Amino acid sequence: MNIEHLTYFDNSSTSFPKHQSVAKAMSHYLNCIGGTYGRSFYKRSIEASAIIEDTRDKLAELMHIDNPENIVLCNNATQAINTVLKGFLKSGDHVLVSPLEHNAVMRPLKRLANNINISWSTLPANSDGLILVDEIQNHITDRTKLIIVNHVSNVNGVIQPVKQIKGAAPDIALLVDGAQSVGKEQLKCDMWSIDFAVFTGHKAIGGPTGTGGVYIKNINTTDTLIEGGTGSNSEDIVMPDYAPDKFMAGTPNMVGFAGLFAALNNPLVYNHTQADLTDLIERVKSLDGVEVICANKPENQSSLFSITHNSMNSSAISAELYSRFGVETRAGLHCAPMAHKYLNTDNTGSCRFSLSPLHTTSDLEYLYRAIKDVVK
Amino acid sequence: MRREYFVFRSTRDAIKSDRILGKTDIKYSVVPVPKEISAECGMSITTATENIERIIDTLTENSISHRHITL
Repeated sequence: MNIEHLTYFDNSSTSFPKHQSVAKAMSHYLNCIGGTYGRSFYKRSIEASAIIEDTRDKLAELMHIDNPENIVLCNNATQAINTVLKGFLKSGDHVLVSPLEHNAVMRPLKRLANNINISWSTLPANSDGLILVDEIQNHITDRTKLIIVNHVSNVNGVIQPVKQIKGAAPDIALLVDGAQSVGKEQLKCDMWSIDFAVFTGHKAIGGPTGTGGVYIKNINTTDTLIEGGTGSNSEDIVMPDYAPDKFMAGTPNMVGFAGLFAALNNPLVYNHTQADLTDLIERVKSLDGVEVICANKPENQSSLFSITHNSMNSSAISAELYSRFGVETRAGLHCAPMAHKYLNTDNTGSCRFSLSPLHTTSDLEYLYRAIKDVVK
Repeated sequence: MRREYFVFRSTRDAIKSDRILGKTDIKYSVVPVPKEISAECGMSITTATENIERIIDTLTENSISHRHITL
């Protein structure tokens, strides 16, 4: 482990390090608060319930949502996506997806295709997967019910123009997968008329794993994924039909949400600029044998990118970076085979670098030198 | 003895009510929902009769749906 540099470049898998308040809040919950959400009247239960509702309010601020109660909290972005796809889509529906979707979207869609005859097709896009907004209408059929867009690709970091996408197809519901974006890229849900916005707590927001959720603009459109106790309306064996209880079956991850609330209150301060990221990418592009998988234009680039090499495979690059320089990266297909196929890297996979706000220009220089040395 | 209760359909509404009423000088307590009202397992707010009007006004001003019940 290199002690002079922050060598963790796998923040798209999960962010590290977290703000110190996150662990403190989780410890405080476990040691001092206890209690759980909405199950009783005593102080511990009220404090626990307040953690959940305060977290919902902070997420609403972050994602520009007017009705925080329509934010469904669950364990991760995958569960949130499953909630929408299995609760909103009906037999025979058609879905348009971006070419850079993650398996968190594609695997549930595949199951729905097998079970209830859902079909999908891919939105038109540039070579980097950036959706061609002006051509969207040509791909809508009379059965198209949903458009799904990965706001930031977890392979090449391209940022999709979700506001313009919704503007181009205002009558079709839009699901934004914000797993890689919420916490670092702007998402104005209500202003942009977003119908579903998925987030995770443990990546760009900087919270712990086991926290995530989805904003559902109109909860009447979506059936529940799971049913169970909510602490409300207990005399009825039917789930409540109002927000947020409709989607709050079972005890939430109280420890996790205590940490997430702390993370939301203590966002990390950036030690590098977008220009530093652009400079790093350009320098890596200049290395012999290296191809950088990134956005075509720097203004569409979020803080992650991948590389391939003409003679080294991605696993070897990742292993060498770690064993020789302590640089932690992720190699392979990143659970996004569809994106890799679109980017022509499905046979090789790629070695991905995903930054933390805490990385300094010195850390980026260290990374560049490590890559340069490994691929020479 | 006559007691006044306010019950809420969701935990979120109960928490919001406690937050808002806690900033006033109105005396109230958070208690379990009385069995006479429902088999509810959550929270309700109880208070003396003279506070009812102020609590209703405060909750209404803040758009918190609630039910007032006298036992």
